[in-house]
This record gives sequence, C-alpha cells and structure tokens, in this order.
Amino acid sequence: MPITAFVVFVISSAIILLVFGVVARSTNAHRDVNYARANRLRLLFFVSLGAILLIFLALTLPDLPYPVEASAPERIVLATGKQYAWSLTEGTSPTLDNWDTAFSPTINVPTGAVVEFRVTTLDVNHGFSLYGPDRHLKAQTQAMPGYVNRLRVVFDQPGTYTVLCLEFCGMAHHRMRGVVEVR
Amino acid sequence: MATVASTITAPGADVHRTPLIRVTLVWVLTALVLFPVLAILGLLMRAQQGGYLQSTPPEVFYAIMTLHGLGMVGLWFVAGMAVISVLLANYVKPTTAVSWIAYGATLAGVVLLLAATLIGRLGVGWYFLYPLPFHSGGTWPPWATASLFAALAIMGVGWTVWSADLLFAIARRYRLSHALGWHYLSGATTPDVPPIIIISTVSFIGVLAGLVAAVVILVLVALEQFGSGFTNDALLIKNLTFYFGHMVVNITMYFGVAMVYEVLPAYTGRPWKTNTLVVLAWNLVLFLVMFAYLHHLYMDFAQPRWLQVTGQLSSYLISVPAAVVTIFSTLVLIYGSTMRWRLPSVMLFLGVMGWAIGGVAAVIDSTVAVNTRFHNTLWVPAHFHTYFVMGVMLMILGTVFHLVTDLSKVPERSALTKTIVGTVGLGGYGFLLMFYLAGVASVPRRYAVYPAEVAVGTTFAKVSLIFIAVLLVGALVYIWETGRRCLKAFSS
Amino acid sequence: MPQSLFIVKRMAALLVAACAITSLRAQSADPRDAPPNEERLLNTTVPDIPLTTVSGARATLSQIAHGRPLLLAFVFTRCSGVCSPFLTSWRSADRAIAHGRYLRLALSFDPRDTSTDMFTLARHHALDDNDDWTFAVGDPSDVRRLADATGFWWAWDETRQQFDHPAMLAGIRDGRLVRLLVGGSITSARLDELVREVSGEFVRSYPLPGRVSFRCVRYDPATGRTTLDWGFALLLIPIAATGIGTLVMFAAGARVRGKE
Repeated sequence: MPITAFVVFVISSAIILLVFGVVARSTNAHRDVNYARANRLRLLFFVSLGAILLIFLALTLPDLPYPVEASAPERIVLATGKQYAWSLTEGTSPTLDNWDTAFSPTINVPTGAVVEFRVTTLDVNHGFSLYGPDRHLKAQTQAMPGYVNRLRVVFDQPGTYTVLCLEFCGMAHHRMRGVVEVR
Repeated sequence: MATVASTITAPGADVHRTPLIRVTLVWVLTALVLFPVLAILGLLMRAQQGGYLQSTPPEVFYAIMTLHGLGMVGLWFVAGMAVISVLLANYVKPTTAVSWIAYGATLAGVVLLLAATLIGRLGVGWYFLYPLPFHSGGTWPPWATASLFAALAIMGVGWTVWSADLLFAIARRYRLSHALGWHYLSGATTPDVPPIIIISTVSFIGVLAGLVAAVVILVLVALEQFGSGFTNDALLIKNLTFYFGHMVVNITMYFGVAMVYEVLPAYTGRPWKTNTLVVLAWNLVLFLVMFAYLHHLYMDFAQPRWLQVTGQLSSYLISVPAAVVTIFSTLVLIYGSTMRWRLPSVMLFLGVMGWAIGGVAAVIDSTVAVNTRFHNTLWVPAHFHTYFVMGVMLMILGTVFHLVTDLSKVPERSALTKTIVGTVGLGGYGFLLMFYLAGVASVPRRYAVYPAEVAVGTTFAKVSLIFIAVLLVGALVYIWETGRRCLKAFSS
Repeated sequence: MPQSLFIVKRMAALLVAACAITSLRAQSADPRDAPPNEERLLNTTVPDIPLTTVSGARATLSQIAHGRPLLLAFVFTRCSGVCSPFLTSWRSADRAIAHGRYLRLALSFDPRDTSTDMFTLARHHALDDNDDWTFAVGDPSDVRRLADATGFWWAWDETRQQFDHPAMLAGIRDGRLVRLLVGGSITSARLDELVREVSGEFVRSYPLPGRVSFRCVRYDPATGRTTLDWGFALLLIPIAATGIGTLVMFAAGARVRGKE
C-alpha cells in the first residue's frame, strides 16, 4: 500500500510538472487570456478534483483502523513503552518500580493468531510499531501516557517482527525495540 | 497596472515606509545569516543518519534536530511576517516600532533556544510534545526546559503583538466584512480589496488562534509544574500542540501565497484582482484550517472517531481552494503572457509548483488508511520539506529578491539566476526524493541512527547529502546576491 | 457465627469498604491480598459451573445466560461491608447506561447462603422480579473454581466474623474473561465501557484510572456516546478568543476610521 500511495504521488507530481512546464513554455508565444475558456477549464478541473477526492474518500474512509466490533483475540499482549525500551508481556505489565525485573523485550505468538496489543507508556509518548521480516511497517499505534490503545494484528507470516518506537521520546528513541517471534 | 517599482514606491508613497523598509531589511539580513546555519544543522543531521559523524552522541543529534526544527519554523514565519508587512504597507499602515519589538523578542528567543539546545542539549523535537520536556532522563538540565518555555513565551508575546498590529492596521482601513471580501459575493467590487488583504486577514486570524493555543499549553503546563495535584490530559495537550504547530506552518505557507498574488502580476503584466472565487476560497480556508490539524492524531486511538473523520475530510477539502483557485489562477496569469522570467518570478512560479506537489503528498498522508503506514515515517518530513524548501521558501526568497533589487537598483545577472534556480531545483528535489523513498520504505523519522531493520535509511541519507550540497551552493549564491543588495539598499 | 443481614448507610459502608481494601493492601505481601489483576486473568477460560437460582432451579452458567454475555459479582448475604452498597451502585449505574443484552449475575461464595437467603438479598435490592438479574448459589468447590478463574478470593476474619474479599465485576463473553472492574463503587462510565466490551464491541482505547484535571472527551453512559468534557472547552478557547478579539479589533478600527 505504501507503493500504491507513492505511485499516485509520482503520477500526480508528473502531471503537475507537465502542466507547469507547458504554461512556462507558453510565454514564448503571447496571447490574450480567454477568460471564458479559462473558467470552463477551471470548472472542469474543480469537478475532476472533487470527483477524485470523493472517490478516495469513499475508498478509504471505510478502511479506518478503528474497528467497532471484533471477535475475541487469541492472545493479549501488554506492550508498555518506557524511556528507552519496549516490554511485551502477557498477564502482568511492568511498573516503574519493578521494571528491571518484570519487563520482557520478547514475546512468542503463534502464526495466524489474532493478537491484541494493549499499548501504553509509563512516561512520555511513544509510538508502537511492528516491522515485519520484510522490513516493512505492518501496523502501528501511539502509546500515550494515561491511555491504553488496543491494536489488533493477525500475523500471517512466521518470522521475527521488530517493535520500533515511532514517536520521538528522547536520546535513545532510535534504540527502543521489542521483538515478537511468530512461529 | 502594477509595475516592478510600484510594490515599493506606489503613487502616494509615504516617507513612513522608509523606517518600515529599514526594519524589514534588518529582518532579511538576519534571516540570510540564520538560514544557512540552520540548513547546515540539517545537513549534519542527514550526515549522522548516513553513518558519518558516528562519534557524535545521539543526544547532540536530537538537540540539533530540536534547534533545526524550531529555528526553521520560526525563521520562515518571521521572514514571512516581515515581508508581508512591507507589502501590506502599500495599502495600510503597520507600526514600525512593533516590528522592532518582535525582532527583539525573536532575538531573545533565539539566544535562549541556542543555549538550551547547544549548551543544555535540550532534545524535545520542535513541537516539544508534552510530557517529554519534563522527562529528560538526565540528558538535559531543568534550566534548558525552562529556557525553552521562556523562549516560546517571549517570542509568542512578540509575535502576538506583531500579528495583532498588522491585523489592526487592516482594521483601521477596512471593515471586517470588506477585509474578508464578503461584498464581492453579492457582486459589489467596491471597495477594491486586493487579495493580499484578504489572505493576510485570514492568516493573522489563524496565527492569533494558534498563538492562543500555545498560551493555553503554557498555562496548563505551568499549572502542573507549579500547582499541586493538577494533572494534564496528554491527549488534550497533544491536540493543542498540533493545533498551534500546524497553524503556524500553514499560515507561513499562506504568507508566501499572498506574496505570489501581490508580486507575480508585476512580472506577467496581468493584474490579479479579487473576485468571488478568491473570496470563497480564502474564507473556506479560514474555516477549514481550524480543523485540518486533526490529521496529526490519527494514530492516537484515544481520539474520538468523529474527530478523526473530520481531520480527513477537512484535509481533503482544504486542497480544493488551493488548487482550483490559487494554483489554477497562477497558471492562467502566466499562460501566454509577456512574462519576464527573472529570479523573483521564477522562484515564485517554482514555489507554487512545490506547494502543489507537497500538497499532493500531504493529502495522501492525511488519508487515515494510508497514515497507518506513513505516520512518523520519513514521508512526513518529505512532504513538509517540500512545502517549505520548494514552496514557501522559494516564494518568500523570490519576493525578498524582488524587493531588494528594486530598492538597491542592482540589476540581475541571468547567469547567476540560472545557477541559483538550477542548483536549488535539482538539489532541492533530489533531497526531497530521498525522504519520499525512505518514507515508502517505512524508515522512521527522527532517528539519529538507523537500526538494521531499516538500514536502507542510511543509504538514502548518504545520497541526500549530495543533493543538499548542490542545494547549498545555490542557496549561498542567492544569499550573497541578496545580501549585497540588502546592504546597498541600507545605505541608499 | 452467623449474623443477621443489616443495612448500612451507603457512605459509611463505602468508607468501610475503602478502608478495608486499603488496609488489605497495606497488610502482608500475600498476592491474595491485592485486588484482582485484570491483566493476569484476561482471556482466561471460565468454568461453566452449575448453579441454583433463587427459584430453586438448577442450571449451568451458560444455560442461565442463554447465550448472553455475563457480568458476574461475588457477594454474600451476611456481608456488613461492601456487598450491599456495591450492588446498589451497580444497579444505579446499570439503570443509567444504554442497555445491551446481557445477564447480571450475583453469586454467593458463602457456603452458608441458600437460595432463600439470596432471594431475600435480591428483594432487598428490588431485583427479585427482573429477568436481567439473577441471584444464585453454587456448590462450594464449583464456586471456588469460578472465583479462581476470575481472580476473586475471600478469607474469614475471625475478629470481625466477616469474610474479607474484594469488590469486582467480571465481564464474561463466550466463556472467557473479557474485563474486570475492581472497586466498591461502580460508576456508569466504567460500567458502560465494560458492558460494551462484554457485548462484543471493540473499545479501541480506554483511559487508565488516575486523576486527570481536564479531559477532551468522556463517555456519556446515558447514550453510550462520547461527549465533550471541559478539556474540549479549552480546545475551543483559541478559536473563541481569536474570534472575539478580531471583532473587537475591527470595531476599534472602525472607530479610528470614523475619527479620521
């Protein structure tokens, strides 16, 4: 899907470049503005742009990552962020007091399972993100102090998934990691 | 009919404009000094991300990142304000003393920020998302956090007074309904309100709203720090933070666009007057810009669903007036005209193009379903650097060159123009392309070092250095040419 | 020694309950002393035990629930502590929220309680004739198994001649523990969240307990929708202040224009 978005971007940019290029070149040959024609073209542009935006709204708004109903997950993983590590546990999540003994950076889940990550943080905003074995971002949600965000993921492909922090959180933001082993 | 000269010395030009021009030239010179420094900070960041400067501790990277972000956002905002004030002086009377006050406040803020970041190693990112400034983990001392908030407060006061003065200058000449062009909707064309007045009115209202949001943040944060038992809701503060941040950068963009409306006609030989479409477009923008910031919180699942949908709808919709009215009209204004392609007009033209391209990237990312993959990856800096480097920066700097050339009477040399345009264009878009590609490859933003999972980010950063170098060559030539014209204008 | 059931004023009882729970925490480090930990028990399977309702009918949990999701509370009729105020607050909160189809079950863990005792308790709370509410007793070993699965525990206090126990609501769906609501007083907001979860609705984010001074939004239990809280008013200040400021400014500008 990022590739699709990029293709849309490249095509749109190419069209913009082309149009701007044509207009720039047009100044070599002087002609008066035909305002009636310009306004007809503007109307056409408006209708086309409106249609494109509406189509993309219709295609993408039903695809919001905010499910209203969902079946019970097979595994519930408590993902807790703290400067500068992710803890992935089942059952109990670490607190600030017992972090060193209670945190675990790794968790195993079975392939094909519906896993629900309950994401929170013990200090500042972090971003919980899952990078798959193909090195692409699979899913993400924010970790906000005082809230638990719930992210449902189905791990179709076995392998090692990395949790990286996607919300700037301080000097070791780039080193925060967790591992989800999918077998 | 607008000519090049008339933007500064319109018929009936007053002596009062000279002090305003002087303070604006001071602003411009300051910007010309700060810009390359801040740009080089950006270069250092990309260099570290490219695997060089490995001995630099990450906290230094993040301190530089904070300074670069706050610096660039602040720099282009004040540059936009300064240039707009001089253009507005054709129609209304800004107060020169207020511009000096804002200058002093900005300088004080800059000094505090330099201290906080370069000495204190404050690394909170440019939007200092609460509660990060209070969780340094020992990286920066409490005085650095205090300096940050003091800088924001001082600059905020200065900029609020400045924006209010400029809006009041408009208010002294036009009533509100005229300043927003509503009379055009019923077919009236008098009083003739130029587009720059309408866009500026919209912009100053927006800026003031954004600055009030910053005040609310400062008050809430202070209450928590100094009050007992007062605890802030992180979601509320995040909403306020992005309301403020998004507004400031958007309005900076609109300043640039106002400059295009005001200055480009001088080069095309065709006027650009207010009409129903311009009025509709900019009033719609005034409404939508209040909600578009919501697209920054899509991945905060705590945010109510209806606010998320509002974010996507307003972000999509706000592209329509920009594209259908401003960008289309720019093209109509130029098409087949006796366009004089000089550095200012080329830069304005390319600036509008960059705004369009950045806008496409922004609308794509403001789609919630896409944002799940692009949020906080390098796609985000890709689109906002497009808006800034190849959009508003070109618009403002093009206008600045126009002003200083007019004031200094130093003629332009086409060889230098071609050098500047070529290097900035190639360097700029190449540098941006590296960001876009990295975003598509899911490389996270704001990483001092890329881990193995996103190692491709290091390669993109390395390549971007070449393009930044090319861009900097063009920028330095521009700075030299503009700087000497500035100094000559001072003395004349 | 059995004691007769007596009615305690709600506030005093809540205070007792709060003190009891607090003092429980302050005592030994026995994990049993701590309030049930939702995280440890999430998604665990709950045994489908046989129960006897107040009418004397015998049926399993799932049969009583008739496929409906279930909210379960453990009580005992000789409770002089939190049980009665707990039930009262649950009933009030339940009335205040948008209803889903689910069963409210109050189950005694005291081996001395009979279905008649539970009927008396139900009638005291005016819930004896309500299809949505069931009061029941069960075999001690079965009840123990169910309690273990949901984190509920009890201990006999010789001095007070009472059982020490936590106050909690367990949300059970498809035979699995979905959420736990721990605390002597049920607020309609938290109950609404629990009910929606138990009814299969996915609550994608929830705030953690803790004092926050201004929130953006809160759940309105009466309609089951989010509504604006004081924090949202703060979010509107920028637009409002600027709007008013702009109007004032242009009015002043008009006055200046009039003088010139």
